[in-house]
Amino acid sequence: MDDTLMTRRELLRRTGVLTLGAMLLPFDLPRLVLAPHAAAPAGDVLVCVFLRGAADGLTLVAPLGDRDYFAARPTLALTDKGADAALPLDTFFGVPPVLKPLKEIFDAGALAIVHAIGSPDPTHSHFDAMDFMERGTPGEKSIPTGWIARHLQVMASRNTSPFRAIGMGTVLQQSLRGPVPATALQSIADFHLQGDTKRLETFQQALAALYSGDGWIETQGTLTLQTMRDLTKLASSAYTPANGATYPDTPFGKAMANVAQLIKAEIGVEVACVDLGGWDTHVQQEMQMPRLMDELAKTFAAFYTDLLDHIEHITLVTMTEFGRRVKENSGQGTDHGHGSVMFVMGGSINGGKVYGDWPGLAADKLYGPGDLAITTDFRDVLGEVVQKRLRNANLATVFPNYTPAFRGIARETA
Amino acid sequence: MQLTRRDFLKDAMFATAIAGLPDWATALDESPPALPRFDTGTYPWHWTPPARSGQNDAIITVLNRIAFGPRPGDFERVQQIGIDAYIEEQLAPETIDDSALEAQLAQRYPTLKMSAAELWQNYPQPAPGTRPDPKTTPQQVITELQEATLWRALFSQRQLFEVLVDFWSNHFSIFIGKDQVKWLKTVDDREVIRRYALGKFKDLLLASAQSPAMLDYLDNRLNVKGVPNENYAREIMELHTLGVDGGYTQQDVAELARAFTGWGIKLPTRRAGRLDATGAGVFEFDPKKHDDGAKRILGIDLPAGGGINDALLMIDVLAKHPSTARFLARKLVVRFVADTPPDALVQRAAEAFTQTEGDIRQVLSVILHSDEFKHSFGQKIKRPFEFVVSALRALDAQLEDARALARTLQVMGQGLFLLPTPDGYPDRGTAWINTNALLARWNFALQVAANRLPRGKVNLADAMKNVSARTVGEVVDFWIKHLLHRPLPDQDRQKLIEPFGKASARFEMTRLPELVALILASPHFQYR
Repeated sequence: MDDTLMTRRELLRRTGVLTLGAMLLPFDLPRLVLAPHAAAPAGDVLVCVFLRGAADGLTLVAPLGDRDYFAARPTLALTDKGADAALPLDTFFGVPPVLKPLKEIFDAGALAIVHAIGSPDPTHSHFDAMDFMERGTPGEKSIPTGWIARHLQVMASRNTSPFRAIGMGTVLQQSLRGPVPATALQSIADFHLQGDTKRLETFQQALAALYSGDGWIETQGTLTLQTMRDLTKLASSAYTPANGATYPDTPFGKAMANVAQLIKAEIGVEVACVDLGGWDTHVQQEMQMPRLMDELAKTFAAFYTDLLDHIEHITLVTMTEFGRRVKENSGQGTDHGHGSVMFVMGGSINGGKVYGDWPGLAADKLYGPGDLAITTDFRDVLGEVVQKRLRNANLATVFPNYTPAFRGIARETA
Repeated sequence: MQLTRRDFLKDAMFATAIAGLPDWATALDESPPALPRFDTGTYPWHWTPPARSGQNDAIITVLNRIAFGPRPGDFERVQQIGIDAYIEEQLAPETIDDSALEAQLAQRYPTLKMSAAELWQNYPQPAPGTRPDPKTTPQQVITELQEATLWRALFSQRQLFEVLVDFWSNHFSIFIGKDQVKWLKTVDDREVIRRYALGKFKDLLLASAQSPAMLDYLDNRLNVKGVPNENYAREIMELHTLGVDGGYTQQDVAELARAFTGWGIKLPTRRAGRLDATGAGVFEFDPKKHDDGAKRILGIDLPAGGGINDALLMIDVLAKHPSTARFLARKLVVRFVADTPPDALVQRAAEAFTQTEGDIRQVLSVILHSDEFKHSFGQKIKRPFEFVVSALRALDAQLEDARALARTLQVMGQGLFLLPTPDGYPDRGTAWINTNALLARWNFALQVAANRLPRGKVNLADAMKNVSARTVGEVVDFWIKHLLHRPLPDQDRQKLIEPFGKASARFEMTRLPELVALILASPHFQYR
């Protein structure tokens, strides 16, 4: 246990050096060579983690320097004193102790935080808000594709890998829906046909013929068969994360381990979407959030450690449909709000800083029914990542009718 | 705008013309009405519509939509009595004898008839560290409800009723894993969903609002004067009645939450460590927790002092609201007709909803007797539940229990009563056809056909005992008819023949499971 922790600390220090001093060190990390799909662009691999249910940004990253925070959250506010005291990020914000693994990455300079961020659409509906955010078009339902799908579309890549875009889970994320086929995947190890192995080859060939058309079902069938063939090779041996990283044994932890494995297999991954649900904490928030935050922090730390040798070329962003009401309710929970928080992690991120103007929590500063106002549009950060890290300057297609204002969160790709 | 019939035929049918109808397929209807244009949206939300094959399409569409797919003999029966007669029969489930199934359910799943108090008392939360008989834990209550739902879909004669129960369970979706819900959802299923599935929407809505399972699931029982909880107030408007674009504001949500303050449940008590559930698990209104001030909701002024009538009045308003009529009409048409519903039919269904004050049976009658419905073959995709149940019905599978099936549905992403969010499972094909989903379907097809289903079996040879099919071509044709009930374009038929040799060669009967699995796994069996 302690050993792994030390290793991670050491590794974190190492990245700190690498990210801050890349120019000075004889640093010769090879670019991700996407072996069978060399046509993939040289931009970062993007990992998009959606915290479904509307995560409370005021608990994830608490404004300890705002007195109104403590007044609004008599039972839920983090404490700034004692054994359970929040870990300060700067003179104003702090994170709960359970997020210590994230704070270490923050301190190493590979994690940036944006506060009071979100979608400008006023909806308090989970489903509408998620939909708008994943389409990247707040308030606009006429564009049927997702923002990541449009990014992939305009990249005009020759990367035809079925793993170019991966959605972990049973249902494909809306952000990936569009003309570039994306692969929905629950688990690498289980992605194969079961039955009499002598006969399965014939069966697969017959399926390939039956699914050979160009309709939606047929396209998906072809993709499924291709995915299966490629994953058979990967699944043949157990996956050992690098650098002693240990993923939590949870669906989210396993999904992120799968993403890391696919990235390292160099089979053409450009984007991956992963979900972590359960953030809709209307009641008993303190019974629910610590477990989720623990899972989140440990998984991110494992992913970071596991991919340390590639981290310069990986950018992870978190999203959540909105934040939660500033004032807690009678059930020690919080209702739907507006602004929340975003994490941006990667080796080419200007981390170690909380970005965004703090709007304040005084009654006259709140939005709508008593919510944290938004001072950064989520598209500002995503747009910067898309342009600087994914090397796609066509932001007008990715985020139509909006001009993202960059905040200096990401460095330009070399 | 609308395609003429000629255009449609040219595009959709002749392009994939069927080379010679087999004699069992009814010849193409001489004069199909102008076909509605099913615009399924822009890329990639379009299917390549399967080739049409005549009247068989209408019958199989009816059996896949108002039933969970045909059992052996069902197709022929509908062919004989006619589609409209079958629809009328199914619209009157009270006239259909289902006593054999009822007897089985009573014997297999005793929790179905219990009150919440009895469930609490008989299936208490195990004390930490103890390992009681699994049959006495709350999990048993969940399992019985899941299995019974599958059992009814598989074996009930009242198929349309079960389809509607599925529709409303999904519309008023409740996550059985939350808090007290595991002891409450069984009663919700019986006293809310099943009781009013074909009744008046207003009765259904009121019953749901006062259902202890819903009060717990959407936190309305915690919604009290002074610090309201908006969860239920929002979802009853967004998901249950008006729809998100139905014309309400955040202010309306906040005010409706106030109207609902004081609505709650009588919970069991603990005395000296012993649970006392007597009289527990029923709706109760606590005037002390109710915010009795004046309210203004959806432009309606509720004077101070309304008590429980605040929310009762608003339920009435929501049930009758024109947005509700449109929202539900559209959702029902999406369910029964097409992912992108024909506007004219939605309009007629909404009018029927308004004219009959939300009589669900009457609204359904409009939808099911419409031409749009009968000519909508290929416009819906089976969701996992429909895929699994229709495969087992088609093969007349004999099951000892449905436990493995409940787990399969979970793997496929449609676990029964297990969706944590209140929006219900999506009813559009695009959400259910992806790499993961197809793999799971193919594996289920292999599992069933090869008799690897735990505690269940199929007898494929038995299905063929009265037929003389011997060659590959004959056997493939038999199973196309038996499972799909419609002829396939010649090139698709060839794809099923090829793995088994020449059409004229003798079919190797040990490979029957492969053939059956292949048809179930093919795109053709994914259409609902």
